[in-house]
Amino acid sequence: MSQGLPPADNLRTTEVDLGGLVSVLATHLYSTPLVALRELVQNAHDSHTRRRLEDPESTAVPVIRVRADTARRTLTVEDTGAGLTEPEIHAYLATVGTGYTRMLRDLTGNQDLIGAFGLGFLSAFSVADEVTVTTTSHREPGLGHRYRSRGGEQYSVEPVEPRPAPGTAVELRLKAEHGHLADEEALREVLGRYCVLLPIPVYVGEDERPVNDVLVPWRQSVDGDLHTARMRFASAFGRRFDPLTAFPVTPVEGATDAVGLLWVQDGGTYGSTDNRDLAVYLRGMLLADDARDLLPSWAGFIGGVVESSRLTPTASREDLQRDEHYRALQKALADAVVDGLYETARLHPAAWRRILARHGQDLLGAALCDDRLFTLLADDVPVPTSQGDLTAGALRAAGRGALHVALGSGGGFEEMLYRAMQVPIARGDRYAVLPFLRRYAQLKDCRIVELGSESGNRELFRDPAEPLAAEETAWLTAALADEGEQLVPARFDPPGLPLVLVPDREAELKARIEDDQADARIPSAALRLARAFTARTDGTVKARLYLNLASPAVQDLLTAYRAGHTGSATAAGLLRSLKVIMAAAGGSANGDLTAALAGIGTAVAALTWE
Amino acid sequence: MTTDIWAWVRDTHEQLSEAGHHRLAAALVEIAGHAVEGRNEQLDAMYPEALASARALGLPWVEVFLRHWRMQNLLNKRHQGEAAMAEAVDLLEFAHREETVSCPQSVCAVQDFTICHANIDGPGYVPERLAVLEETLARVEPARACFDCLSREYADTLEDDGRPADALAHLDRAQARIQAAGEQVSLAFGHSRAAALMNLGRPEDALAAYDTAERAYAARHQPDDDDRRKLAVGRAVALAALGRSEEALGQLPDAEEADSYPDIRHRWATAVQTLAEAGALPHGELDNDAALGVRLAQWVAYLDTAGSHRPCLDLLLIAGRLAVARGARTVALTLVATGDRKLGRLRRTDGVAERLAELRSAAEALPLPETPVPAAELPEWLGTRRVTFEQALDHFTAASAESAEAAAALVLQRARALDALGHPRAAADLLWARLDEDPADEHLPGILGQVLIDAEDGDGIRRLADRLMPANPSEAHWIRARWAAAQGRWEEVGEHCDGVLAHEPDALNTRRLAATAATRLDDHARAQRLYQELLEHAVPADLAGEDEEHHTVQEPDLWHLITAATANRDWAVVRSTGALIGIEFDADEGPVDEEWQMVTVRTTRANGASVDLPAVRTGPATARILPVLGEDVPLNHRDVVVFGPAVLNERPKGEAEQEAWRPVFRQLTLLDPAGYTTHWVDGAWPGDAAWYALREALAEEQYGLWAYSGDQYAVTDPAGGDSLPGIYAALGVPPTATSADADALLQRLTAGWEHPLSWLDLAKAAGADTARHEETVRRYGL
Repeated sequence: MSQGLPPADNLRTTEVDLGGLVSVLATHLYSTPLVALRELVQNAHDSHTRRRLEDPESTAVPVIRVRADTARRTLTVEDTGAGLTEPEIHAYLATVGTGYTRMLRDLTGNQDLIGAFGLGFLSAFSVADEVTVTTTSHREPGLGHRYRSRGGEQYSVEPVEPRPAPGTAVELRLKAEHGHLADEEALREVLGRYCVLLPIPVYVGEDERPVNDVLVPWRQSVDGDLHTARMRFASAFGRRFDPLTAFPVTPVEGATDAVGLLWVQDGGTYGSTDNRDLAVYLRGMLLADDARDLLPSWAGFIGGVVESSRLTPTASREDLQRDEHYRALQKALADAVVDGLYETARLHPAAWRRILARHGQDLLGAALCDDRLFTLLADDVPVPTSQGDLTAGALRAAGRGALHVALGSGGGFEEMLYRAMQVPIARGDRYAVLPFLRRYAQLKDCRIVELGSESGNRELFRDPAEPLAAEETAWLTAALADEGEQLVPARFDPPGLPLVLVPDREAELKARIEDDQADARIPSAALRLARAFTARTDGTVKARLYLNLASPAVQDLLTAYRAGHTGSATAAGLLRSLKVIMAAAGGSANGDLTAALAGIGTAVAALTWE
Repeated sequence: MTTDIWAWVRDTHEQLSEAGHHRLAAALVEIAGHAVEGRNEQLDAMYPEALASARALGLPWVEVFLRHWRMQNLLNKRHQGEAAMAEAVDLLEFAHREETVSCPQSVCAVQDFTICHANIDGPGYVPERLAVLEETLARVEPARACFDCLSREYADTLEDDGRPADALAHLDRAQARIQAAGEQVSLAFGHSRAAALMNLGRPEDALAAYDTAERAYAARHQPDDDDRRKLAVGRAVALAALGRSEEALGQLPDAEEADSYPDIRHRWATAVQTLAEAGALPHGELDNDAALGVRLAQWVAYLDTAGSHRPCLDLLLIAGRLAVARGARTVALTLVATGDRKLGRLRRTDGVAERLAELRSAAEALPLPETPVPAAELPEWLGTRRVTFEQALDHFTAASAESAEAAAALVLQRARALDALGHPRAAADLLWARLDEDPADEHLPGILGQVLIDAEDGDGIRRLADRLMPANPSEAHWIRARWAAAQGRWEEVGEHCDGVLAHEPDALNTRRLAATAATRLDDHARAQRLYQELLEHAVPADLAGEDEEHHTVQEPDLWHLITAATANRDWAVVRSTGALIGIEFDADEGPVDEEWQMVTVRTTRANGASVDLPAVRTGPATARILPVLGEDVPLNHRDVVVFGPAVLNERPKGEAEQEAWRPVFRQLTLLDPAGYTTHWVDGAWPGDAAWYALREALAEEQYGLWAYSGDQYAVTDPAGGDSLPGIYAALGVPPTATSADADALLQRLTAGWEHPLSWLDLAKAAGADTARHEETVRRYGL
């Protein structure tokens, strides 16, 4: 005891095994040292509330002031509240689990009191080597006491000069590793967030302006425009992004008492789709800094603040228990986001347009998770397409009543066909596009053509108006199709495209599974089962060759064939070459490209030969 | 094979983020959660982009990861069987290529593949599943999460083989090995234990197993909604089995929740069946009634379509027993028929075939109602009595059994009732069967066609049309035309209507549909021709029989003809057709351009949304648009449009409301564009008198002015900083005036105003000085 502490006989022992507890607090319960600061400010606040309850006539101006001394590595939290008598020091500073605050709240039912566990004060030892409390109770304004403890296990209390006015100053001598807390600039930022809802002004250092002088639009009456006040609060509070719009959270009868504010964050969701940011306050004090799970998981662009007295913190006091109140609030917040977006669309069209531009992709996904949101967004939200961003309505109009969406799975021939179609095609391989358009089509009763699926391809390749004669089909097959290709007479857009080759995916899979190399790679029992599956497909048709009977080239070819024109074989040869070249351009390795190119030469020679 | 998949996910996430592939990085960490917690919408939203990115970046391990977790969702959350098989096989192959085989998740592709077989026919694939699992378990050690997963799958397989005791023993051994390796078992492991205990007839122990599993899990994790839901339904089954009905009902999730999450449906139905047998359903919101039957039938149909044959059969047995319990004989037998079909898809039918046979006997033992009246009168007779759909269906079935004539008369009612009770496929099958029996029936093809169109069964329609084509080509074309119309493929509608008309030149309804298609394609000339032909081919009203109304000209036909003729500017036809419905025109020839009444024209914004515009009707099918419009609407002031004849809003009842009422019509096409250009004016409200004077003076010069701001619009008063009422309006400049003319005119007309208006964009377009407008914008905070 050589470091200025009183002699050992003045030392008392805290009524629990603090050695263990403090180390638990320091290393496990509180994940960040800032929690200790929060607890001390909370105690200061409760001390003012006690003063008001015990001494209603008091004219003392409630103030909390937090000072830091970087050189001495100290942090002081000072209040003008009730102060402590010596017995109170022994009872409440040194006894775990009998927090005076909780007792008072239980007795009075006063909900302004924040503390709950009686652990708050002891958390100071998680960041400080030594804690000194200098206090004067409003009941004994002539007496001063100083509590001191190193490590919290043992402490001393000695009389000192009374403070100029009742109140308490808690000084922490910070551990070396927490020395960075003794920085007033950092304190302003941290406390600005922690204390934003505290009704008592909190000052840092010698500041004349409290860190919490932002108007809280749901607590205080607002002169002038409420929306402006909300935006101001959101701007002051939002950490990473400016708000694009803000809207209220209001209590829901029979479900939740939560009030507060939500806002749509500016800034793309670059880096992550999930920028949800929600702070939860309990009796004015920050309870959970990152309660994003209370917001719907689709609302990655929402930030906010709510306060509720029904939520229960977990033992660590940094998270919330997932109880029925939690779930009720989750639902209320989801509704509040949707309501707020509706209001924005109605009252702040400019902000709404910015939201659509910034968060279009996320909104597509969000719309899928909430029917009301879908209704709101269906016509407005942009969808990425082959011709830039378009609304679903514009996509539909350009597609003559149908929504075209490419699944992006086919590559090759599909790309070719889509480019030739010249209608905008939505990018089904982009976030949320396909399910969004499916639901749009269902709701608006319009057709969706999913290019790349079996049903979509069926839409593309319509049956011919009249079936082709068997003999003609046979001639065309011989003239145009290679081995494993099945000729399918059809009609499709654009008419300029005479034929297109579509690989059969089942046959491809069969070939891969039944390949000898699979034996070496796939475990044998699984492979046997897989082969039992692929054995069901015949596999002889490796690709379908769709022949466009609406194409002038094909019509002329047929007319020439029917008329017995000698050039029909040459013309068919040209089309066959075209087929192979297009398939090769689409990335297919099938077909003999060299022969196809040579075929062009042959055809040109035949046509120009006299 | 000791790589920890989650360590790999963390590393890959970091690498992708550093390389700037943030969205794929986010998908990598989020997708598994979406998949296993049943957030299907979010999974579906995220998956295609993530997969495309992984492929584009050439990241085969990421591809395996993404496809595996989506497959887990399809199999475990959506209970797909055959529907997922092609992808399961494809994934199996992909996950064992040279570039992927050492990915820790490749093992999981094997497991997905076996689960897919378990969904199709668990007991039928027992030997194969065990072989695959043994082979796979040899590749992983107990510390890996896969071991937990594969052990459960192994136990499930043993249970499918009717060996719950072996399953339980296997789970206990696996648990010991997992714990010996320093790991904990999953919550799902607890579910597997509980399921084995239930199958051993030990519901009490199953409940304890749930409690133990939940406690152990909650000590390390926050249980989510999915955990809560599955625990609740599992406990409901066990509690119901113990006769603790109240507690079971307390745990049982709402039916709507089971609608949303196919993975709890079987257990939900099991609990409900047990509760129903105990007479413990609370009635009202949950009872063994037709509504429950419809819900279960829909779930059965879902599994049927998903190719989960065995689960489909298991569920339909529950649905069937409940139907028998409420006396719904035909419904129960319909389920039995579905069961027969499913039985044919199974490799192993012992046990289940007997249960299906028992269900059939129980259903057949139910009495069929007596037929109180002749079959043809039955629908009307039932209509006057309080019978449920299920009872009505039993009446129809009973009556149909009495004679072929009765069966023919009632087939439509039976099909409708089946459809309404959640058995659309059975309804279609019934009609198909009737068609086989009586191929010449005049009405059946049409009815069947409609059922197929309603069910959006494109294959069925194709089959029906192909079958009809040789003997009845016009009916075949007609069905295809209606199907194309339902799908909005208007060109095809036209083609098939032509096909009908080639065989039935007098058909009127065909022309009506063809004309609708032509109108949709903006081919008003063809539409007009079709309606004129319709007039020629119609039966005169006085000669038409009672049922022949559709063979006569209807008033809407005339209105459509007027509309088409208007779009074609065929004013003579507009006048002559108008005369047929008693329209008197001001002039006898030339374009119709009169002042009728105020109407509302509904048109489409550039973004696809609808917008209603006030307009003055100028003839039977034309209106002149009143507002000055911005760029978001492809119309403007004084444009004349043609609208369709259908009134889209309801005429109000009261007299005063009728006075204020304006009919809403949909715009068909733009007839005469007026060529106005829009500019915006903004500023302080000058007062009613000044504003109306401005509007009138502008109107005299053929300009339009349309206020957009409402009562709440306010601008800043530069004098005091308070707010002033504001005005924001669109100015329509006629095609005869230049921007400079408009700028000069506005300046002249607002010259004496206390608060100046700003028209910045117009001033810019006019090349005029913009400084004073910028100043106004600044001072009034516009």
